[in-house]
Amino acid sequence: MSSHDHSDDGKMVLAHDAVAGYRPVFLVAITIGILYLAYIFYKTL
Amino acid sequence: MINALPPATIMILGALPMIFLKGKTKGAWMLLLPILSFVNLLAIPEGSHWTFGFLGFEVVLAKVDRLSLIFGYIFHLVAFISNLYALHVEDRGQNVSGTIYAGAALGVTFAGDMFTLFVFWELLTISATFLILARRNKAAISAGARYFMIHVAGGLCLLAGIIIHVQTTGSAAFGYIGLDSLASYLIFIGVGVNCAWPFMHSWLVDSYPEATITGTIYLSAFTTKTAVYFLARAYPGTEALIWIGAGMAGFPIFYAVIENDLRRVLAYSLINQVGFMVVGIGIGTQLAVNGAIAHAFNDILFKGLLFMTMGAVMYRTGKIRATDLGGLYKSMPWTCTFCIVGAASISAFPLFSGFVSKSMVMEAAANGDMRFIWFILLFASAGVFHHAGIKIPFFAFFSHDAGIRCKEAPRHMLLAMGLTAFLCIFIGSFPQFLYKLLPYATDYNPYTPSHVIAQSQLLFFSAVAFTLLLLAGIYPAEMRSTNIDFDWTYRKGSRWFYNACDRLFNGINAFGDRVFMQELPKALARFARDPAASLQKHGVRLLAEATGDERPLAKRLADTEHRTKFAAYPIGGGVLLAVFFLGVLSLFYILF
Repeated sequence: MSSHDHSDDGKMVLAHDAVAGYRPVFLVAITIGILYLAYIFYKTL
Repeated sequence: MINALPPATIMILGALPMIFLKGKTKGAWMLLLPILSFVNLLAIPEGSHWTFGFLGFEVVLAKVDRLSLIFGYIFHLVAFISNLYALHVEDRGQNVSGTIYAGAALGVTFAGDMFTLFVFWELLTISATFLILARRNKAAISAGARYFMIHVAGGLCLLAGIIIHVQTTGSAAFGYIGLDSLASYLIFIGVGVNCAWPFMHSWLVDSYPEATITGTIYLSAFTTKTAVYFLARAYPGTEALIWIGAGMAGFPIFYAVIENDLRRVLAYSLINQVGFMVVGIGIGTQLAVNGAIAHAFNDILFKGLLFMTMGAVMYRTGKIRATDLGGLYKSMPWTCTFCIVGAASISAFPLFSGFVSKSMVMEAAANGDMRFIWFILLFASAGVFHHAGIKIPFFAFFSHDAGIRCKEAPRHMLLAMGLTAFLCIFIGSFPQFLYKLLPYATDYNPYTPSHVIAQSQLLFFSAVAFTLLLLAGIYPAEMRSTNIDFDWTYRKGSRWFYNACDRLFNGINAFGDRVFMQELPKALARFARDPAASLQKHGVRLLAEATGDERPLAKRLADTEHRTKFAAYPIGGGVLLAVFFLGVLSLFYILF
């Protein structure tokens, strides 16, 4: 539990808005990555 | 005869005149001290020096060997860089405590016996506390008090271990201890506090970000690294350290990712990096220990550099939260560049310093067939690239433009950062200069194709993951929040403990006050007013209760009181007392 300066100046949240079209790219990349790692893991058994 | 002083002397005694100096004179003195101390160190040959007897034990003020020397070199270097960075500070408390802190670290490093070591160990705590308190706001004062209490507790644990160890072995010499007795465990835990082991780490992320801008630079260099030095000397090859180190390397990543305060992100990152060192010492092979020491050397530089860049940002903008920063590369291009060098070094990019030392520890884990540990370290490497390599420069200097337009960092800060950045690249490009200083001779070559390709892949895919997470809107938002860490247990727990103690002990106190200070004295006073009447009245009451005598008790009590005023006691009572005392006397006579 870190102590923080609770002064009120400044933003409370800095959100990172999605850029259109990148969510499917991310999902495809993560799927390929997981499948690749699973294959490597299987081969090392 | 040695024409030199004990290694810590110049820094500690030389810090005192700073109280009276100011302006350029003070600045020159601050820069001169580490140089003088370093020249002095070079004049001390290897071996034990300045030994004398004390209470039957041999006190060794300096024991110089390859292990202590490499820490001595880096401590001098970072003391010089920190003092250069802090030239603008006109707070004598900070100037003095920062330099004494560096001197205390040297004292620990060269201590040849445990008592000398303990004295410097505590001096380290005291001077570090002043560096935290120097910020003089509520958060800093609270964090400083917590820092002090935790380190005093750790110090007492260490002292208890040292005393038992010295009593058991008959020697106060500081060398290999190993983990085989109560004393060794106590010492181990005492050092673990300073090393920020899991569940003992909260003081670091609590206090370092609350210290002054310059104070954090000193703090990042000495406390944890002296603990690493201690472990390397006293506990190499201790298996428990492998798991402790792996825990240290792994868990801070999760906190660092969600943390908004960028200096606190670096504090978590510091624990993560010390984790690599602790794993290396735990593995205990020559390669692993060399890797741990080399990584300590490099970490002091690149972590210091990152703290310096964030300090410069804070100095110019007054802000340090990711939510408040962004777009500063336009105003602070040099600071941004140095930050990227620090980020590349900590992330172990080839040709930067982290690469040439982290790979030694990883290689040692692989050579020892420690697959799980190796995997944790790999995960930690990816994690550190993400939170320290990308998050720090990205949110401070790029990301969303916060609209802050400020001056570049002052020249002396830029010089300090530039020198450190140069060293990060130099060591990364020519690691043999560092390897020559290591405790064990080595011909290790980090620039093999497998090392370079494996690390480049790791960094590339980590960068891709960060980019895609950010663009897909999945990356967690930066939020001003309080992240619950282990210190929650003792901050809340200590409050509950305090309340429980308050009720228990103050309850006993109130009870004692009521019984022994109020009611008993009153009863005794009543009794002492006329002891004979009181005794008789008490006897009458008991007799009436025992026999069921229903005659008015008040009248009999009044009669008894009246009689005693004239010493008119019933004959039977006197006879009874005489018989009782004769009986007691007879009993004594028969028994004794």
